[in-house]
Amino acid sequence: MIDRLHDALLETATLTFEEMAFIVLEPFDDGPEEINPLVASTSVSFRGPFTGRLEVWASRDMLQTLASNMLGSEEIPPLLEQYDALGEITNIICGNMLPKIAGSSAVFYLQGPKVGAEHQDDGAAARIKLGMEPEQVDLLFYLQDKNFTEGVANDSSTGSR
Amino acid sequence: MSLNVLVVDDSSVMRNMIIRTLQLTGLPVGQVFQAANGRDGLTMLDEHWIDLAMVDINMPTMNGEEMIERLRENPSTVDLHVLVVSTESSETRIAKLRSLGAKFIHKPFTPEELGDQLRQMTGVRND
Repeated sequence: MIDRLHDALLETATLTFEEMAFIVLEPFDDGPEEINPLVASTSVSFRGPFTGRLEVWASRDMLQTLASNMLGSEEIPPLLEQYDALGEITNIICGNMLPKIAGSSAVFYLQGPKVGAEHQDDGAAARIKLGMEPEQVDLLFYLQDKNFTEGVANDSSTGSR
Repeated sequence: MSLNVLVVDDSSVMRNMIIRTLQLTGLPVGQVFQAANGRDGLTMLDEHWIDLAMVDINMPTMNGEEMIERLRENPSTVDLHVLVVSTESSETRIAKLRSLGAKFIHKPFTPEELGDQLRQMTGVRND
């Protein structure tokens, strides 16, 4: 199941960055030697057959590039729009990932993106790092109920209504 | 014939992106109006002649589903072309939106996908 979550997150995230921001990102499996620090984050919480949240963290230039590309602007957009862009990316990844793991009949309710994730710890059910050196993004998918994993693994339509 | 379009989304970046993508479709676009939630969207519909509303679902104040329900109750917008632009993937919720006479396009989308959908909905062809 962990692999399934990881694969769903990786597939959804790479496609979203490509189609929304025209950026092709590669997984940082072992971590490049020189990367810029993660400085900004947005999160989207969801409830439905299971409850949790997705956090997306970005390095400074990555944050700027995402917003510039989404707006089709050569100038660096204001910080508010940079976070708006990252929040929309987070929302789209979360919204597209959930049916991959719970089935298309499951109903989820997503909250609007929030700036600033709560924390960055090791409790994520799935985590991927993507980037174009030296810029990076870090995606963490958290589940409130750690026991949900087996249920979803056994029945992809869990919790549909 | 050019289309006057209303884009309703709580993200200003997303609204701008939708408008930019709309322009890339080659369809004849007239005036473009924007609103950040369903309530403001309904106000725009009261104040302007609009041919097509592109509406997000998850928004504060009034979500897209409620906005569509309300505009269908208004004789002047009962037949308005409505395209839901959302990450929503639940077949149940999409079916509900379709029952309100709305079409659906999934984020992310390409100019080609958007253009095809709008041509199908409105019958309008490229310039």
